[in-house]
Amino acid sequence: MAMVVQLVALLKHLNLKMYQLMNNIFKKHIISSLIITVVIGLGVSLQSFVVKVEAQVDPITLSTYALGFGMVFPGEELEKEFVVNLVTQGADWVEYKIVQTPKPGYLDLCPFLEKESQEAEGDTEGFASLDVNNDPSDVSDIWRVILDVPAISGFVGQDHALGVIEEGGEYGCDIGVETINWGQSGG
Amino acid sequence: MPKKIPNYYTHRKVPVKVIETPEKTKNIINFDKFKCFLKIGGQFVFALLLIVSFVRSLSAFEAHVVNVTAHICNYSENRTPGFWSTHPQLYVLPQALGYDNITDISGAAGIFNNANADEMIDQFKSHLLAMRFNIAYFGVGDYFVESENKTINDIVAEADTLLKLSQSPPTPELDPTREELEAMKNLLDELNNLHQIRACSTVAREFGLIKKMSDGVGDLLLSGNSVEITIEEPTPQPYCGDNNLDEGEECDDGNNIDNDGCSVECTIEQTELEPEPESTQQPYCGDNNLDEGEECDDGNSDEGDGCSADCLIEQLEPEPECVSEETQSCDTALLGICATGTKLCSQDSFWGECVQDNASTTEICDNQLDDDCDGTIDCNDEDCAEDLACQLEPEPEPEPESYCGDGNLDEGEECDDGNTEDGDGCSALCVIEPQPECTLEETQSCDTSFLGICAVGTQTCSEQGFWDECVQNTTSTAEICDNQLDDDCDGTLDCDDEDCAEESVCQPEPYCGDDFINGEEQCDEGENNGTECVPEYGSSCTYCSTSCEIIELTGPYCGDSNLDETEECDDGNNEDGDGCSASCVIETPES
Repeated sequence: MAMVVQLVALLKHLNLKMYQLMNNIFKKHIISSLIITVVIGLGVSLQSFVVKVEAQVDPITLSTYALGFGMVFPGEELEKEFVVNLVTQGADWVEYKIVQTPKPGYLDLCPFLEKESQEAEGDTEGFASLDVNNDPSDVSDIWRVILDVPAISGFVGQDHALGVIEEGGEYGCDIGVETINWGQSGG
Repeated sequence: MPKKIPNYYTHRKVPVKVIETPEKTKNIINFDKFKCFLKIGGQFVFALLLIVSFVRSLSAFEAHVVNVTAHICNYSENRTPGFWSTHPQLYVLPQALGYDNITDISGAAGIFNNANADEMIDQFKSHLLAMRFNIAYFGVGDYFVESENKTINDIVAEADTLLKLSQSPPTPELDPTREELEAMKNLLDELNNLHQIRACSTVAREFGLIKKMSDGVGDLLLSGNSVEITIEEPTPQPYCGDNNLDEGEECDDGNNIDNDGCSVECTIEQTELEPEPESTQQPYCGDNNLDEGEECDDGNSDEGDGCSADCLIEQLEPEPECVSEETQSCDTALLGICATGTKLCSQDSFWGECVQDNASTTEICDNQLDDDCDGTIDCNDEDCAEDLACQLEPEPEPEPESYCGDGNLDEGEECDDGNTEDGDGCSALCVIEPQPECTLEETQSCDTSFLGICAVGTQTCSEQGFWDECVQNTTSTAEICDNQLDDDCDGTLDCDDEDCAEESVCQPEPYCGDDFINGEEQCDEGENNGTECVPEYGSSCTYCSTSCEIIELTGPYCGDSNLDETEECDDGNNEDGDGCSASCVIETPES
């Protein structure tokens, strides 16, 4: 009988311990688990959203991703063009800007580049747009990149007005076309 | 019996009371932790939501990048031998020139002074040395010459090889021809004249002027086509190919080509081609240069060729030149017809003197020959100065300038009689003068342009031989109406003159047709004379004939046998009862 009583008491004790344990577990871990779950849930939803965005991104394409001027000489003014195209299957309009950064591994060519929009649409480097809603033919922008070849220090002619560099060599610049915003009517 | 309370209850009670407070505190602490956790977590979630809210924008900043590249090169310079000959302060010495070594300014100046010499090899050396200086000073050696598909260093190396071959002992199969030397010289000349070269040169950047400029050693200023160069210390950085044996080099032959004894890495090559002389630096007998202590140096060590192996002049037995008694045309070194000669081969097979074929004579001034062998022909010979054939023809008079009075009808002249006198038909101003019409005091009848008797006039010849004004012979008077003259000169005669209208002599006589019945005229109706009248039926009418007689005309009537308009019949009588009544009505027979 005593054994039974002790067993019952033990069970109650265990129950209490279990209760306390569960209570602690609940207090310590459940909330964090809940947060983790929320975070995971958010992550999943975020991922799904990102996937969704990626499926729609790239409202523009470029005609080329490399403009090589080759061997150039001080005083020369050389031009090349690239075209920004609107991907009409994914967007009706896009706003973008052109930024340039020195090309890693190269001497900096950026200060000697000019970018000119070839359409009189008011596009500038800081803000340009393509919009087929306003103009069905506005599906591409032609940008002319003008290289004003600088003189090399020590060899600067009196009539030279295109900048000066310290040395000749391989120069480079990354011209980035960054989407600011885009959209699709009805979509 | 008091209820036995299990120990653990006791334990539980007491601790519960004791512990309750800590539990509450703990709970409070836990609650605070939870709140803190919630706060942090909330902030985290908020941040996440914030990020998520920007996910679309962020994802939209996908950038497309265009890689822009350019190889920026520099212009460089080249200069001609002419430039280098006047800019010794810019020389970068020493410079190899074939087997020669140009070590000082005078040596280089000697080369450049021969830039226009007749000898092709001298011109060749001049341009090669100029290019050496261009390479050393401007760093153009690595520039690529597209037309030749070589660098300038390659071309200079080839030129140097040609020069060495020409400096080596004669070897017919290896010696460069004059054409080869000239072609290379011309190429160097062209390159030296390219004052501005568009090319990218690594050599220039590493060793040449650009390096020096960046070191601040010198300065070069381009201004249009002019170039000002100031160099403080023209000491190029050592490099393989600078013709100097620098540290780390086994050799340096001044070029960057292999197989010439010194590799492009400036290590000594063992080559079977073109063995190097024992020393290119030290003069030796057989180096083709007349060095100190040498009477001659023919570039070899052969005996019996006029210059011994010790570089002493050899006295050699001359080779026979010809066959005995053979003759040959020759130049006597005289002038004119005396220049041609003939030489005869002697018994010992050598040509004798050139004997002129023609002796000189007196210069004949018109045979196109230098007869007196003085170098001048015909009229160019002063001996012909007095010869008629050489008399200068009188120079044609210069074309006179045209003027009035030169006898030529020049522009602007109406005439030119060769003088400047008036009154001779052509005035002093060459204007046509009228010819004289008459002689003095001569008279002639003339027309005064008036009428009638006033028309006739007389004009007298003036002193100048021209007719004076026509003066009418008769003055006008009152018109006389029957003299057949226009007396009053008004252009009308006699009765035509209105002045005679009232004169009886001018009155007209009566006539048939003057509308007046004169004399025997029965009638006169003027212009109407002869106009017949038209009588009516059954009546008559009269008119005046052209002879002024009255004519009566009878009209149709009944009984004239003509069926007139108003008649039913007309049987030519005026009787009744005959079928046609007297009034020309058809009668009906009584039944």
